[in-house]
Amino acid sequence: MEKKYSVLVVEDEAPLGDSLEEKLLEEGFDVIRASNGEEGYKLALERHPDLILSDLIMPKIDGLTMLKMLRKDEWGSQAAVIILTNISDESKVAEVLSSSLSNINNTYEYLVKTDWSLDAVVDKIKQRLQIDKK
Amino acid sequence: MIKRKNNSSTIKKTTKKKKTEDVLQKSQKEMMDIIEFLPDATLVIDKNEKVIIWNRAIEKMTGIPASKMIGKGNYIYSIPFYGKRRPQLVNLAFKKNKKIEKLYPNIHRDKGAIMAEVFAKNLYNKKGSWVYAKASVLRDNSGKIIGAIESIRDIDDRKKAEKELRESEEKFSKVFQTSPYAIVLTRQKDGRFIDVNDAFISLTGYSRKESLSNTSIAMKLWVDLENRKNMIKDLISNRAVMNREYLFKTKKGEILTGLYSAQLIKLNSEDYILSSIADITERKKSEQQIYNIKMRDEAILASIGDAVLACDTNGKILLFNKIAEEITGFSAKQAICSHYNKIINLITEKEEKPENDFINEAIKYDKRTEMANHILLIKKDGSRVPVADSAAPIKNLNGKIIGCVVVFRDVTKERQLDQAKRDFISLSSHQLRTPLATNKWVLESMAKDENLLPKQQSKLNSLITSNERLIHLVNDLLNVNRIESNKLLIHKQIVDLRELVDNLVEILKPLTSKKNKNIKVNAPAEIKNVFCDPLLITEAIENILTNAIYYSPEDSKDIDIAIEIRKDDYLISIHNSGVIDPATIEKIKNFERFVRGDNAPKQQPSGSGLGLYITKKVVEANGGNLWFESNEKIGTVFYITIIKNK
Repeated sequence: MEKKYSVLVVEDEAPLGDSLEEKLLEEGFDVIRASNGEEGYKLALERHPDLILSDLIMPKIDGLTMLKMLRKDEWGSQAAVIILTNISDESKVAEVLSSSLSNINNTYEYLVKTDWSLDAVVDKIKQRLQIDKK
Repeated sequence: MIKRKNNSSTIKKTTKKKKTEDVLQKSQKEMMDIIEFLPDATLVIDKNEKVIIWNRAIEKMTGIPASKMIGKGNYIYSIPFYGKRRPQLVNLAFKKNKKIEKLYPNIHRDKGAIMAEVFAKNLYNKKGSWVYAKASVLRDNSGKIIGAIESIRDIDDRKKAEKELRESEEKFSKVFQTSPYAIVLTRQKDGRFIDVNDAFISLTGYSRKESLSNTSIAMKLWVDLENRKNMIKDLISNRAVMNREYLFKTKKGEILTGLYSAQLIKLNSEDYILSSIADITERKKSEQQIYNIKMRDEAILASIGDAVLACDTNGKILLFNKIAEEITGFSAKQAICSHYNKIINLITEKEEKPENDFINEAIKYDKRTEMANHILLIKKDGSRVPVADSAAPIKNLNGKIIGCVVVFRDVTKERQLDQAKRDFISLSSHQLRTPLATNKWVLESMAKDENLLPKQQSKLNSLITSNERLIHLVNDLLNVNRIESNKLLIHKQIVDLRELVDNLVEILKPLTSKKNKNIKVNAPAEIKNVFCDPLLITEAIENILTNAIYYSPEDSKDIDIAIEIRKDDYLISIHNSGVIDPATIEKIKNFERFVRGDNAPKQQPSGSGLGLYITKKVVEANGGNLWFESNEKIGTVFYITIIKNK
């Protein structure tokens, strides 16, 4: 990787966030950590990461609300987002994917955490940022 | 007095005598004329027992004219009566003859006359007839016997009437005595019993001797004398009372219910009461029992927790219980005799289309039917309730369908409970996923550590495997939950089925080679444009393939997938040479939840028993079927169909 990509990890579950951070650092990413939607929103607008990896259910501001807020920002409306969650309820997924938020070129990826290994998540991120596999 | 016609020797030719003789002859002539025209058949014989008069009535009775009989003796005149010459009553007037008299059953004499009733078998062209005959001797002025006369009267009609009367009396007496009903003949003026029959004796316990000349009041036969008083009043004004229920007391004091009828009859110009009592105590008891049963059944139906209605084969409602009233808002009065269509308005929850056919189907096809899921009942006031419902034909003893019973219930609470259950499963499963995801990723990064000892690496792998099992189980639970709450969303699109299958085989490669299996795909080229939901079909095929990988015997290496294009669908068959044992087939053939084959836990400990159930559901959701065959000839084949888009 010539350019250092930055990833904002918004995750309230510390061990999960740690594992992701460790893995992303290993893979050569810059990692920004936030433990709820409020922090995530603040850090996203401050640091403009290349990709936001966000949980949905979190204290203070949940992931969906955070994303809706972000989409109102000029930079935020174009930000790449991958949702990582434990909810696999298709109607919820549909809600996220079909909301006005996804009308933009940056469509959402929606990954169920238990179905994805760290390797696979990283592959997904790289694919999304159009970074060639090593 | 009559003198013989040809007794000319007695006539003296003196004027005086002549005059006297003239008078005598004249009176003789008159007498003969009288006899001639007597309505009774009459014959007169002289002292030599020869016929001197054979009148018109006897001509008619015997069919023999007087000209052929006058002057005949030697009993020739008895031939028309008895068919042979023999002395008859007129001869007996002269002299007794015991032998002949025996031929007359009730012969008797009175003041010189002799009378008898006898059957003269040759009369009326040998038809025979009963006759009453009376004979006496004729004497002249001096008392000398000069002949005999016999008059004969046809008493056939009387005899017949007597016989009929006797027979009918016998009949009546027989009926009276042998009737199963107690019959009593009572004299009205004093209420005394004149006759009672055997049934009366056995019914009341009083002997005939005790009963006769006694009265019902003295015998305390009536439990309530007021009843008797009213009955007598009605009897006098109507001359009869019919089928009244009264209580009677037997000699032993037992109370019985009698069906009482009575009639006033006149015998020898005196009023009698002919009354009969039928013992209906047992009948009343069973009537009461039937009534009790009926009341009990009605009470059961009324208080049954579900709404129940029954209708005839035309759909006319015959029964409508209390809960049915509550759920529909219609009263039983409004519902009964209406067609069920007017009372039970069912619509499907999604399309709001009417749904009453299951009742009709039950009647038409003679089967128990259940209505489709998610049905709403529109109440009388227009509000809607979710209901569950089933209908079954009602058959008579001959097996003929005579109607239909429909049971339905308000499932609002069930729905709420169901929803609560699903919400709970959903929530708890998602909660479970958080630590599972943490384990998964932490274990994954730990396993990457190159400094791990082989022993540690192997233990870590065990942890990873069991964590994956848990994740799989939670996924299955969530899937089932989604299927059961109808939240399975179907996104059909054009799919290259061959590519889908190939990708799947590729993904399963690590497992396939680990288990030493080999998957071969045999599919035609024209399956690039199959309209289906790729996720559902992938899941279905994957489940069947992994089953084949895990559960087929070790010596059955090849797993073959064949795809066939048929008229209305695509048929995917997944074959291996192993045979499922009969006990397992029995267990899994209905694709129920949490059912596993007998050896399955050994072969694949992480199975949840939900795989085939989920597979069946997703295949059906996509529009198709899942079934299997397993036997020595073909091994085991699972079939999945994908319906073609039209």
